[in-house]
Amino acid sequence: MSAIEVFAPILAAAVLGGSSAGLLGVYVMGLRMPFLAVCTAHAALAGAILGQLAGLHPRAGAFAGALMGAAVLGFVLRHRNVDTNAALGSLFSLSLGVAFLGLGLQKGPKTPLLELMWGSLLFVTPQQLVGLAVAGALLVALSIVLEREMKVLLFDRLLAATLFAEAWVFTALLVLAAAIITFNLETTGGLLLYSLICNPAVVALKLARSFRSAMVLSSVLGAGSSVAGFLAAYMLDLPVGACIVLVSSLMVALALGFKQVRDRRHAG
Amino acid sequence: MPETLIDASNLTVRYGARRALGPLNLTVQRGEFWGIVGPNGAGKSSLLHALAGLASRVDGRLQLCGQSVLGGRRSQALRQAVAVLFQHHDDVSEAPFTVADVVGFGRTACGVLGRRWNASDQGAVDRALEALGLSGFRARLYRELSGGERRKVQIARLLAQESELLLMDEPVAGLDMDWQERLTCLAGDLHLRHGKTVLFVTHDVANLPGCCTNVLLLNRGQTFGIGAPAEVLCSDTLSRLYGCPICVERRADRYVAFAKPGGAG
Repeated sequence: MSAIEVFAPILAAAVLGGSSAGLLGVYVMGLRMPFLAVCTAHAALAGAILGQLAGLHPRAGAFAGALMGAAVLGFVLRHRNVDTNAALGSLFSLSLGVAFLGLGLQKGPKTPLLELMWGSLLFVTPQQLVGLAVAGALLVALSIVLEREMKVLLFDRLLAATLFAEAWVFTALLVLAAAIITFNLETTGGLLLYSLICNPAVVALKLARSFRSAMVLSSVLGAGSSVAGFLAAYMLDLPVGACIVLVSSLMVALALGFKQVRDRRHAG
Repeated sequence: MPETLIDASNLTVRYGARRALGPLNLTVQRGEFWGIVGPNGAGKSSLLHALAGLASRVDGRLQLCGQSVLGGRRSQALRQAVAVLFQHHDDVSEAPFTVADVVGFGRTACGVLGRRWNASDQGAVDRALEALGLSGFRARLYRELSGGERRKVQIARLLAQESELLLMDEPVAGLDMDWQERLTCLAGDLHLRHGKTVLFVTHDVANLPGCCTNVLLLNRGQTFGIGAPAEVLCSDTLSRLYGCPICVERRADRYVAFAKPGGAG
């Protein structure tokens, strides 16, 4: 097997997963609901573990869990007098409880289940690649077709509710978030995925001067931190998921430093 | 378009077990400027939320622009016909939206989801920016504007929506006196120059523009007074409304109210 045959699918998964997670992050952070990502990721993790216990493919369980998490969130967040972060926090705790219960119930070696927590880029399958590509393409399509509606949703959900059928747009976003999180779960892991979604978006939203450029920048940074994290892990013989998260966190620190310097220069 | 834009009878808004508004009767004709005045918790914002379709537990009968709106989904035409300016202006998204983006948000009410942006949308945004003297601001980031500038942009967004009825919830709250006066004049312009029917919620009668045609005083969710400003905005009525001695003076076509020193219990 040549080096290209070994590395091509890994790098493709890093680019597809990182860019789709980065794009999703712009919406999650733009909505000021970072907990949305961690919450849906943990619902997917709980679903994958329960699915595996029930003899299903973990991906099917993860998607069911993420969709269920998204559906519960969508229902709860429709009630505008509900504190968003309290609802997300409760669902997060519930998902984590279910995931650990599933781990406890697993008889024999727990390694396959534990792998879902930190994931692995190294054993990515063609089906995963197709799933990542389709979920990412659907999010791009939604971002293009409903560009203005999505922007209003991020700007002010209450205003969006007076202007159009905001619940449909929000639900579509939650379903796509569930799909992207599911396919990234096996490569990045349920515990680390949150950083891959949020870190590139934090940088992009701070630095970009237009919403479109924020989306592009966040996708590029997501893909870049995944590839750089994988390469660092490969060269230093370290865990891949952890390296991806550390690279993206370093990127946030550098970007915030750069922004401060830029702002000082403008002020001076 | 019908002449009666709001026809509410026995309108009640509840949050859980608490009744925040009503039963309230209100009829607003096209071309009127209504000041909705009352102390904190009077039900002013609840009224606007009910009219904007945002209150979940609303009873009674409510017709907006000739359409019955309780218990059913709002048509897109009705969404366009009613534009809302909310109170929480400074809770700003971190996303890098330009002034032109925010003004253009009003156009999402004009048609189906995913409709393509066309020349008519661009024209409406350009006219709104021009009308408010914001043409030079179109590329500025909304998050970098001052509080007063943001509200001016929001008023341009109302204009771009090309609505019949504007609901403005405390548009000048929390601003310095200069911006309060500027935005009060702008609200008056929306009525006088652009022919909009306006419901303008405020604590302070001094923020009502001179073109205000009707005033609704609310207290504890109930109508406390209703009528022309000259009939309703008097020292005795406002003293009873706010529960402290208040002096009301008429200055040109505007009113000023202030609590009498040492009068509060």
